[in-house]
Amino acid sequence: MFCHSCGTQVNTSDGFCPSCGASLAAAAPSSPGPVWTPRPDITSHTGRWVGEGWAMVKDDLGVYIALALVTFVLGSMVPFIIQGPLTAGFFMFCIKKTMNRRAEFSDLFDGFNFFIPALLASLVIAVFVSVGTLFCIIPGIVVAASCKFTYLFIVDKRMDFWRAMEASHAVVKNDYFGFSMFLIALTLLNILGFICCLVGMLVTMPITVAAITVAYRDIVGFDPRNAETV
Amino acid sequence: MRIAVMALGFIALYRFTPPAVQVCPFHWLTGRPCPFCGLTRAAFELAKGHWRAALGFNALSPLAFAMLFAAIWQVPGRSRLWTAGLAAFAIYGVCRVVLPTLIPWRSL
Repeated sequence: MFCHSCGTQVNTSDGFCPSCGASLAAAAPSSPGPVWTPRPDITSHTGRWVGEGWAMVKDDLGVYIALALVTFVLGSMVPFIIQGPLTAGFFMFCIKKTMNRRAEFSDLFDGFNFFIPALLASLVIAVFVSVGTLFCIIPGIVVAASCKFTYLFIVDKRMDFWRAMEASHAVVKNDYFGFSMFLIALTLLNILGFICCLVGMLVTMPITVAAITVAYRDIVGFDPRNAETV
Repeated sequence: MRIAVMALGFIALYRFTPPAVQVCPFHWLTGRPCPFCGLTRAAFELAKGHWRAALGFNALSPLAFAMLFAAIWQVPGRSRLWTAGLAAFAIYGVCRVVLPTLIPWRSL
């Protein structure tokens, strides 16, 4: 479970959070975890989200490029294990930016507060997407689209990785086609970045994360309780 | 917008027939078609009205396009159609893999 005050991962048996000292007893009754039911009228707005993502990245281009560079370098040095937490941290940075709060470079490493769920999510998503891709590619795209919001549910709603994946799927379920197109648009953007001597990816990768964060804000909305803690 | 894109797509499907490229990893690994193999080729044939050829590439291709249209137009009851359709594809996939081993002269 996670401390309801600062978000640090804590043992269920602990009475107080080892990081911030808040009492964990108050949070215990809600231990089944937050459940979130989506609105029924969700649709994808690819153009608007990618545009807003680009606007966000453009305003702090240097920081985003540095974040992407560190993510790539660390991710390639330690394959698999830290990919998930780093992605979660990148989303935390983007959440703060979207909420117009002070976001710092070190937010990237706050993703490690969600080490276990982020790691499990990254591994399970990788397996699911590979299996989907095995069957003529397209199912893999749909699966990847369904998992797009998993990290945001983990970071923002403090969900367990499986619950987060279910919540992400519950969102995308309303418009499989639209969200698959959203993912394809982001993938094409990244391929474009890849073609530009790899360097382009340092810009397109942040746009991807920012666009997904903006989409999450529009569809789900950030948890107001996390405003001081994320 | 959606109508324009779909009209353009239909014209493209009607005008052209691409060469058969092998993209499916399942087919590449096992030598057997996966449940969704042949859907692209079937789309090109179906747009030209060759429904027999389309069924030859993938016997469930009309169902697949019904499911796709239901998803694009957000038809009510699409989730039930998708559940039933995916179950049908699962059965079809098993048949596609198993049947040729039982009846060597027949390929699905």
